[in-house]
Amino acid sequence: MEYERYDTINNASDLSSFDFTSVGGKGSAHMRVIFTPTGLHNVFVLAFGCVTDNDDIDDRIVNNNGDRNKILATVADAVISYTDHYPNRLIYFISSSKERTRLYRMAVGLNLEELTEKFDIYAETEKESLTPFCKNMEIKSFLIKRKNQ
Amino acid sequence: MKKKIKKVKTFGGREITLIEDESLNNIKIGPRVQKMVEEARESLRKIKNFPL
Repeated sequence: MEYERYDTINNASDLSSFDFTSVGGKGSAHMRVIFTPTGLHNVFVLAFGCVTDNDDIDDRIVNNNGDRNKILATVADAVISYTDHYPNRLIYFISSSKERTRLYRMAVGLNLEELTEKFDIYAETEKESLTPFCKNMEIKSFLIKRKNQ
Repeated sequence: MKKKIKKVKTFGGREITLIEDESLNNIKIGPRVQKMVEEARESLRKIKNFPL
């Protein structure tokens, strides 16, 4: 992925959260990537977005900093770092809207070759089943797993 | 306190710097993330071929 990224990231000791600062034309924004247990064995939810005043994450905010791809590349780096440490954990990812799902689907699709070198990527379909992700397929969410290397 | 700084390789061998930050160790999950977790759990339970 030949994208710019934020190359300095703060992390929790157990890598459950990563913080970085988005910088662009509209100023700076405090961003967070967090991995949260679902209660299902080895399945964790990936959430990311702007950190709100009450320390929650809002994945619906558009910061208009013009750095969308840089943010997505940084999130991908956080996933790499997390799964380097926890290679057996499955990461579930669902977005806040259909528009964002389409954006993430395109981002994954454009970089599928490189991503699948490291990850098995499954898509949850409307038929409530998991299938290996292919470009342009309609999906509800992603489930990813680090490949055994 | 001295912070742990680690260089890690990501895609294409590019390097990023991870700085351990104790303030991130006890992040409470807010309602927005909690809702995502509940949706994920519910969704995964309905999936016919899960676990993989």
